[in-house]
Amino acid sequence: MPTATKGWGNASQFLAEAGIREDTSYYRGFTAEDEKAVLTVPMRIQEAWERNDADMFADTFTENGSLLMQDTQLTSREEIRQYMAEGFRGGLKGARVRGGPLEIKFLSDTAAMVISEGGIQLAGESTTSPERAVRVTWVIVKQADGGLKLFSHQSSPLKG
Amino acid sequence: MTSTASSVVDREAMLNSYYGPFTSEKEKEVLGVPLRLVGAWAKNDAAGVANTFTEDGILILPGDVLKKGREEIRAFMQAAYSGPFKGTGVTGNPVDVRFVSDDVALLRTHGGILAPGETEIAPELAVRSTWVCVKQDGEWRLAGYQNSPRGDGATLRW
Repeated sequence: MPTATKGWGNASQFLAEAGIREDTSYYRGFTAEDEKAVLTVPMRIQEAWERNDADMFADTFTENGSLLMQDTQLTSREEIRQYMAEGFRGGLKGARVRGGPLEIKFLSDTAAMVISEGGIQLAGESTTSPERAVRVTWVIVKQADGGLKLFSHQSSPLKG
Repeated sequence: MTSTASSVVDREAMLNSYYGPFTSEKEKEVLGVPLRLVGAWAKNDAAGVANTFTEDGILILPGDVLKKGREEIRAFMQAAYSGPFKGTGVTGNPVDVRFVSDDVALLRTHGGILAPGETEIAPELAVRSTWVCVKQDGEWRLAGYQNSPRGDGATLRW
């Protein structure tokens, strides 16, 4: 049964604002209003990969957002923008990601943690190869204007 | 100087070296979380490690480890201390401390598992860790801990 909303916003509205078609299958079992709202952040990121759009990607992060890519730790929106812009022109051209949520925890009124599974698919690939399968911790924050941003993303390889 | 006083000074120096540039009381308080985990690990104390987490905390490690809640974490660590982690230690130094709010913080550390008797991390065991910390009833705990290979072991990944 969906729990009462704690004001994380409306997923359909967030997606419409971002120009993304709502794919309700992405939510899996996380269909409470607040859960769906939080999951629009990973959906925005997935769409940015789909479009190879570094600006859409970077603008999903907070100003001081952090992202670990391979062995490069990025620690600001602008570092992320530059890294992904170069990536989408180079080795990540045509790459996309697939995945979905495993856990959602609301840590406070303004912070949520999502655990997801998935991985990157390089150009021409239709499945995530086992060596690129990951589990991810996303820290998502609600900003003063009610908008949701990505504060931190780190993946761990499933193999190891 | 008495030996007690000297060990207090040593402890102080060790702590200052660990905190590095993160010297505010607020930062040092949340940096107590990795210290508690390192302390419990040194004793191979599975319950101690698990108690570093919130009741529903999550542990993610490479090698297909996803443990949900203190009890799963305790059971996993218990088994590991009887097997692959027996006699090991763990170490790590903070490279980033960020607060989302007064009761939610994100730490990142560089560290890894120390093989029995070792004081340096073998390159293939070096990791980058993210610690998602929450303050509950006045105490910082782990809502989530995750690590990923650091260095040559880091593969193309999203």
